[in-house]
Amino acid sequence: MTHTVLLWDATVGLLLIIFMFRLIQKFRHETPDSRLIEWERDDSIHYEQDEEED
Amino acid sequence: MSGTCEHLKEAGHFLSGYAALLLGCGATCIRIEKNVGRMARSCGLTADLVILPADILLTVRRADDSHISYTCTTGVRKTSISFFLNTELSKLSWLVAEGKMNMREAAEQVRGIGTGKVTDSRVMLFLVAAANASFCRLFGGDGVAMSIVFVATLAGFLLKQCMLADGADVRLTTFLSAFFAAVAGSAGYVFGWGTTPELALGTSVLFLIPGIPYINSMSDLLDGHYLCSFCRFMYAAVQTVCISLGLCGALLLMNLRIL
Repeated sequence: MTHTVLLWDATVGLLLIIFMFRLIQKFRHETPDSRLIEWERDDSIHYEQDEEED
Repeated sequence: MSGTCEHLKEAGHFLSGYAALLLGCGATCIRIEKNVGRMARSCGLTADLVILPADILLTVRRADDSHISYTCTTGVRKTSISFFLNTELSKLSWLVAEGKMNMREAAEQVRGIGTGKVTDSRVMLFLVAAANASFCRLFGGDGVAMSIVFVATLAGFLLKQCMLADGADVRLTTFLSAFFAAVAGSAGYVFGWGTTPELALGTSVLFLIPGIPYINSMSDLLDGHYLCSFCRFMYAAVQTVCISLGLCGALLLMNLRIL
Protein backbone atom coordinates (compact mmCIF):
# COMPACT_ATOMS: atom_id res chain seq x y z
CA MET A 1 0.00 0.00 0.00
CA THR A 2 1.56 3.30 -1.10
CA HIS A 3 1.85 6.51 0.87
CA THR A 4 -0.81 8.22 -1.31
CA VAL A 5 -3.35 5.43 -0.80
CA LEU A 6 -2.85 5.66 2.96
CA LEU A 7 -3.41 9.42 2.88
CA TRP A 8 -6.55 8.98 0.76
CA ASP A 9 -7.88 6.35 3.16
CA ALA A 10 -7.14 8.55 6.16
CA THR A 11 -8.85 11.62 4.65
CA VAL A 12 -11.96 9.78 3.50
CA GLY A 13 -12.02 7.90 6.82
CA LEU A 14 -11.93 11.21 8.70
CA LEU A 15 -14.87 12.45 6.63
CA LEU A 16 -16.83 9.29 7.40
CA ILE A 17 -16.09 9.69 11.12
CA ILE A 18 -17.37 13.28 10.96
CA PHE A 19 -20.60 12.08 9.33
CA MET A 20 -21.05 9.27 11.86
CA PHE A 21 -20.42 11.64 14.76
CA ARG A 22 -22.92 14.08 13.28
CA LEU A 23 -25.50 11.30 12.82
CA ILE A 24 -25.15 10.21 16.46
CA GLN A 25 -25.41 13.82 17.62
CA LYS A 26 -28.55 14.34 15.52
CA PHE A 27 -30.10 11.17 16.92
CA ARG A 28 -29.41 12.31 20.48
CA HIS A 29 -30.92 15.75 19.80
CA GLU A 30 -34.03 14.36 18.14
CA THR A 31 -34.78 11.79 20.86
CA PRO A 32 -36.17 13.26 24.10
CA ASP A 33 -34.58 12.09 27.37
CA SER A 34 -37.83 10.52 28.58
CA ARG A 35 -37.81 8.16 25.58
CA LEU A 36 -34.22 7.12 26.31
CA ILE A 37 -35.15 6.34 29.93
CA GLU A 38 -38.10 4.30 28.70
CA TRP A 39 -35.89 2.28 26.36
CA GLU A 40 -33.36 1.55 29.09
CA ARG A 41 -36.03 -0.22 31.14
CA ASP A 42 -37.30 -3.61 30.10
CA ASP A 43 -40.78 -3.04 31.42
CA SER A 44 -43.26 -0.18 31.16
CA ILE A 45 -42.85 3.01 33.17
CA HIS A 46 -46.09 2.07 35.00
CA TYR A 47 -45.52 -0.49 37.74
CA GLU A 48 -47.82 -3.46 38.11
CA GLN A 49 -48.12 -2.79 41.87
CA ASP A 50 -49.58 0.65 41.17
CA GLU A 51 -52.29 -0.91 39.08
CA GLU A 52 -53.06 -3.51 41.82
CA GLU A 53 -53.36 -0.77 44.42
CA ASP A 54 -55.91 1.01 42.25
CA MET B 1 -55.37 62.64 5.25
CA SER B 2 -54.81 60.18 8.06
CA GLY B 3 -56.31 57.38 5.94
CA THR B 4 -53.90 58.20 3.12
CA CYS B 5 -50.94 58.11 5.51
CA GLU B 6 -52.03 54.75 6.92
CA HIS B 7 -52.48 53.39 3.40
CA LEU B 8 -48.99 54.62 2.39
CA LYS B 9 -47.45 53.19 5.56
CA GLU B 10 -49.07 49.81 5.06
CA ALA B 11 -48.09 49.69 1.37
CA GLY B 12 -44.54 50.82 2.16
CA HIS B 13 -43.98 48.14 4.78
CA PHE B 14 -45.42 45.42 2.56
CA LEU B 15 -43.46 46.44 -0.54
CA SER B 16 -40.12 46.86 1.26
CA GLY B 17 -40.56 43.49 3.01
CA TYR B 18 -41.45 41.91 -0.30
CA ALA B 19 -38.38 43.45 -2.00
CA ALA B 20 -36.10 42.34 0.87
CA LEU B 21 -37.35 38.75 0.60
CA LEU B 22 -36.95 38.78 -3.18
CA LEU B 23 -33.39 40.11 -2.90
CA GLY B 24 -32.56 37.52 -0.26
CA CYS B 25 -33.73 34.60 -2.41
CA GLY B 26 -31.44 35.58 -5.29
CA ALA B 27 -33.50 37.81 -7.61
CA THR B 28 -31.80 40.42 -9.76
CA CYS B 29 -32.30 44.13 -9.06
CA ILE B 30 -34.26 44.67 -12.28
CA ARG B 31 -36.70 41.92 -11.27
CA ILE B 32 -37.22 43.52 -7.85
CA GLU B 33 -37.83 46.97 -9.36
CA LYS B 34 -40.30 45.62 -11.92
CA ASN B 35 -42.29 43.55 -9.41
CA VAL B 36 -42.49 46.32 -6.80
CA GLY B 37 -43.33 48.97 -9.41
CA ARG B 38 -46.10 46.78 -10.87
CA MET B 39 -47.77 46.31 -7.48
CA ALA B 40 -47.39 49.97 -6.49
CA ARG B 41 -48.96 51.18 -9.76
CA SER B 42 -51.98 48.92 -9.27
CA CYS B 43 -52.69 50.76 -5.98
CA GLY B 44 -52.23 54.22 -7.46
CA LEU B 45 -48.78 54.66 -5.93
CA THR B 46 -45.25 55.19 -7.19
CA ALA B 47 -42.35 53.40 -5.54
CA ASP B 48 -38.71 54.54 -5.54
CA LEU B 49 -36.28 51.81 -4.53
CA VAL B 50 -32.69 52.03 -3.37
CA ILE B 51 -31.30 48.49 -3.35
CA LEU B 52 -28.27 48.11 -1.10
CA PRO B 53 -26.43 44.83 -0.51
CA ALA B 54 -27.90 44.39 2.98
CA ASP B 55 -30.93 46.76 3.02
CA ILE B 56 -33.84 47.97 0.95
CA LEU B 57 -34.75 51.67 1.13
CA LEU B 58 -38.21 52.32 -0.26
CA THR B 59 -40.21 55.52 -0.70
CA VAL B 60 -43.87 55.28 -1.71
CA ARG B 61 -45.99 58.25 -2.71
CA ARG B 62 -49.38 58.76 -4.27
CA ALA B 63 -49.23 58.95 -8.05
CA ASP B 64 -51.60 61.96 -8.10
CA ASP B 65 -50.10 63.80 -5.12
CA SER B 66 -46.34 63.45 -4.72
CA HIS B 67 -46.17 65.71 -1.61
CA ILE B 68 -47.23 62.93 0.74
CA SER B 69 -44.72 60.11 0.92
CA TYR B 70 -43.58 57.38 3.26
CA THR B 71 -40.04 56.00 3.44
CA CYS B 72 -38.95 52.82 5.19
CA THR B 73 -35.87 50.63 5.39
CA THR B 74 -35.90 46.84 5.64
CA GLY B 75 -32.94 44.52 6.15
CA VAL B 76 -32.48 41.81 3.55
CA ARG B 77 -33.85 38.47 4.67
CA LYS B 78 -31.04 35.94 4.32
CA THR B 79 -32.48 32.86 2.69
CA SER B 80 -30.82 30.41 0.36
CA ILE B 81 -31.14 31.04 -3.38
CA SER B 82 -34.52 29.64 -4.35
CA PHE B 83 -36.15 29.62 -7.78
CA PHE B 84 -39.36 28.40 -6.16
CA LEU B 85 -39.56 31.43 -3.88
CA ASN B 86 -38.59 33.72 -6.75
CA THR B 87 -41.35 32.37 -9.00
CA GLU B 88 -44.01 32.41 -6.27
CA LEU B 89 -43.24 36.03 -5.38
CA SER B 90 -43.33 37.08 -9.04
CA LYS B 91 -46.69 35.32 -9.50
CA LEU B 92 -47.98 37.16 -6.45
CA SER B 93 -46.98 40.53 -7.91
CA TRP B 94 -49.05 39.77 -11.02
CA LEU B 95 -52.08 38.81 -8.89
CA VAL B 96 -51.85 42.18 -7.09
CA ALA B 97 -51.26 44.07 -10.36
CA GLU B 98 -54.31 42.46 -11.99
CA GLY B 99 -56.48 43.32 -9.00
CA LYS B 100 -57.12 39.70 -8.01
CA MET B 101 -55.62 40.29 -4.58
CA ASN B 102 -55.23 43.33 -2.35
CA MET B 103 -52.04 44.23 -0.45
CA ARG B 104 -53.28 42.90 2.89
CA GLU B 105 -54.00 39.47 1.38
CA ALA B 106 -50.68 39.61 -0.47
CA ALA B 107 -48.85 40.32 2.80
CA GLU B 108 -50.44 37.19 4.30
CA GLN B 109 -49.38 35.20 1.22
CA VAL B 110 -45.80 36.50 1.47
CA ARG B 111 -45.64 35.35 5.08
CA GLY B 112 -46.82 31.91 3.94
CA ILE B 113 -44.40 31.75 1.03
CA GLY B 114 -41.48 32.91 3.20
CA THR B 115 -42.00 30.07 5.66
CA GLY B 116 -43.28 27.61 3.07
CA LYS B 117 -41.98 24.35 1.67
CA VAL B 118 -38.33 23.87 0.78
CA THR B 119 -36.88 20.98 -1.18
CA ASP B 120 -36.01 18.05 1.09
CA SER B 121 -32.27 18.08 1.84
CA ARG B 122 -31.87 14.38 0.95
CA VAL B 123 -33.59 14.86 -2.41
CA MET B 124 -31.40 17.91 -3.02
CA LEU B 125 -28.28 15.91 -2.13
CA PHE B 126 -29.14 13.18 -4.62
CA LEU B 127 -30.07 15.65 -7.38
CA VAL B 128 -26.87 17.69 -6.97
CA ALA B 129 -24.75 14.52 -7.09
CA ALA B 130 -26.60 13.31 -10.21
CA ALA B 131 -26.21 16.72 -11.89
CA ASN B 132 -22.48 16.81 -11.17
CA ALA B 133 -22.03 13.25 -12.50
CA SER B 134 -23.88 14.36 -15.64
CA PHE B 135 -21.45 17.27 -16.01
CA CYS B 136 -18.61 14.74 -15.92
CA ARG B 137 -20.30 12.81 -18.73
CA LEU B 138 -20.78 16.03 -20.75
CA PHE B 139 -17.05 16.70 -20.56
CA GLY B 140 -16.33 13.17 -21.86
CA GLY B 141 -15.89 11.21 -18.62
CA ASP B 142 -16.47 7.44 -18.60
CA GLY B 143 -18.80 5.49 -16.30
CA VAL B 144 -16.16 5.02 -13.62
CA ALA B 145 -15.39 8.75 -13.56
CA MET B 146 -19.12 9.50 -13.30
CA SER B 147 -19.45 7.13 -10.33
CA ILE B 148 -16.45 8.72 -8.61
CA VAL B 149 -17.89 12.21 -9.16
CA PHE B 150 -21.29 11.08 -7.85
CA VAL B 151 -19.80 9.76 -4.60
CA ALA B 152 -17.39 12.71 -4.22
CA THR B 153 -20.27 15.17 -4.68
CA LEU B 154 -22.41 13.28 -2.15
CA ALA B 155 -19.61 13.55 0.40
CA GLY B 156 -18.78 17.20 -0.33
CA PHE B 157 -22.37 18.43 -0.49
CA LEU B 158 -23.38 16.52 2.66
CA LEU B 159 -20.50 18.16 4.50
CA LYS B 160 -21.64 21.55 3.20
CA GLN B 161 -25.22 20.94 4.36
CA CYS B 162 -24.06 19.82 7.81
CA MET B 163 -21.69 22.76 8.30
CA LEU B 164 -24.19 25.36 7.09
CA ALA B 165 -26.89 23.86 9.34
CA ASP B 166 -24.46 24.26 12.27
CA GLY B 167 -23.92 27.92 11.35
CA ALA B 168 -20.31 27.53 10.19
CA ASP B 169 -18.60 30.24 8.16
CA VAL B 170 -19.54 30.03 4.46
CA ARG B 171 -15.93 30.41 3.27
CA LEU B 172 -14.61 27.72 5.58
CA THR B 173 -17.52 25.47 4.52
CA THR B 174 -16.73 25.97 0.83
CA PHE B 175 -13.01 25.35 1.39
CA LEU B 176 -13.52 22.12 3.35
CA SER B 177 -16.24 20.84 0.98
CA ALA B 178 -13.97 21.45 -2.01
CA PHE B 179 -11.03 19.79 -0.25
CA PHE B 180 -12.88 16.62 0.74
CA ALA B 181 -14.74 16.37 -2.59
CA ALA B 182 -11.46 16.72 -4.48
CA VAL B 183 -9.72 14.10 -2.31
CA ALA B 184 -12.63 11.70 -2.91
CA GLY B 185 -12.61 12.65 -6.60
CA SER B 186 -8.91 11.76 -6.89
CA ALA B 187 -9.76 8.06 -6.36
CA GLY B 188 -9.28 7.48 -10.10
CA TYR B 189 -5.63 8.58 -9.86
CA VAL B 190 -4.92 6.96 -6.50
CA PHE B 191 -6.34 3.51 -7.33
CA GLY B 192 -5.91 3.64 -11.11
CA TRP B 193 -9.66 3.36 -11.80
CA GLY B 194 -11.12 4.34 -15.19
CA THR B 195 -9.58 6.02 -18.20
CA THR B 196 -10.51 9.66 -17.40
CA PRO B 197 -9.41 10.31 -13.78
CA GLU B 198 -8.54 13.95 -14.60
CA LEU B 199 -12.18 14.63 -15.50
CA ALA B 200 -13.40 13.00 -12.30
CA LEU B 201 -11.06 15.18 -10.24
CA GLY B 202 -11.89 18.39 -12.12
CA THR B 203 -15.64 17.87 -12.05
CA SER B 204 -15.84 16.81 -8.39
CA VAL B 205 -15.83 20.45 -7.13
CA LEU B 206 -18.10 21.96 -9.81
CA PHE B 207 -21.19 21.79 -7.58
CA LEU B 208 -19.68 24.54 -5.42
CA ILE B 209 -19.24 27.10 -8.22
CA PRO B 210 -21.43 30.15 -7.40
CA GLY B 211 -23.03 30.43 -10.85
CA ILE B 212 -26.14 32.40 -9.86
CA PRO B 213 -24.23 35.20 -8.03
CA TYR B 214 -21.96 35.56 -11.09
CA ILE B 215 -24.95 35.78 -13.49
CA ASN B 216 -26.84 38.17 -11.18
CA SER B 217 -23.74 40.31 -10.84
CA MET B 218 -23.56 40.67 -14.63
CA SER B 219 -27.28 41.42 -14.86
CA ASP B 220 -27.02 44.13 -12.17
CA LEU B 221 -23.98 45.61 -13.90
CA LEU B 222 -25.87 45.91 -17.20
CA ASP B 223 -28.82 47.45 -15.37
CA GLY B 224 -26.65 50.07 -13.64
CA HIS B 225 -26.85 48.71 -10.09
CA TYR B 226 -23.08 48.87 -9.60
CA LEU B 227 -23.04 48.51 -5.83
CA CYS B 228 -25.13 45.32 -5.82
CA SER B 229 -23.23 44.03 -8.85
CA PHE B 230 -19.85 44.55 -7.16
CA CYS B 231 -21.09 42.99 -3.91
CA ARG B 232 -22.37 39.89 -5.68
CA PHE B 233 -19.24 39.60 -7.79
CA MET B 234 -16.95 39.82 -4.75
CA TYR B 235 -19.00 37.20 -2.91
CA ALA B 236 -18.73 34.86 -5.91
CA ALA B 237 -15.00 35.60 -6.34
CA VAL B 238 -14.26 34.83 -2.68
CA GLN B 239 -16.20 31.56 -2.99
CA THR B 240 -14.20 30.67 -6.11
CA VAL B 241 -10.91 31.38 -4.31
CA CYS B 242 -12.03 29.08 -1.45
CA ILE B 243 -12.83 26.32 -3.97
CA SER B 244 -9.42 26.77 -5.60
CA LEU B 245 -7.66 26.59 -2.23
CA GLY B 246 -9.54 23.40 -1.37
CA LEU B 247 -8.68 21.84 -4.71
CA CYS B 248 -5.01 22.86 -4.42
CA GLY B 249 -4.87 21.44 -0.88
CA ALA B 250 -6.23 18.11 -2.15
CA LEU B 251 -3.74 18.04 -5.07
CA LEU B 252 -0.84 18.73 -2.70
CA LEU B 253 -2.00 16.11 -0.20
CA MET B 254 -2.44 13.46 -2.88
CA ASN B 255 0.87 14.49 -4.46
CA LEU B 256 -0.77 14.92 -7.87
CA ARG B 257 1.39 16.95 -10.26
CA ILE B 258 -1.06 17.28 -13.12
CA LEU B 259 -1.07 21.07 -13.54
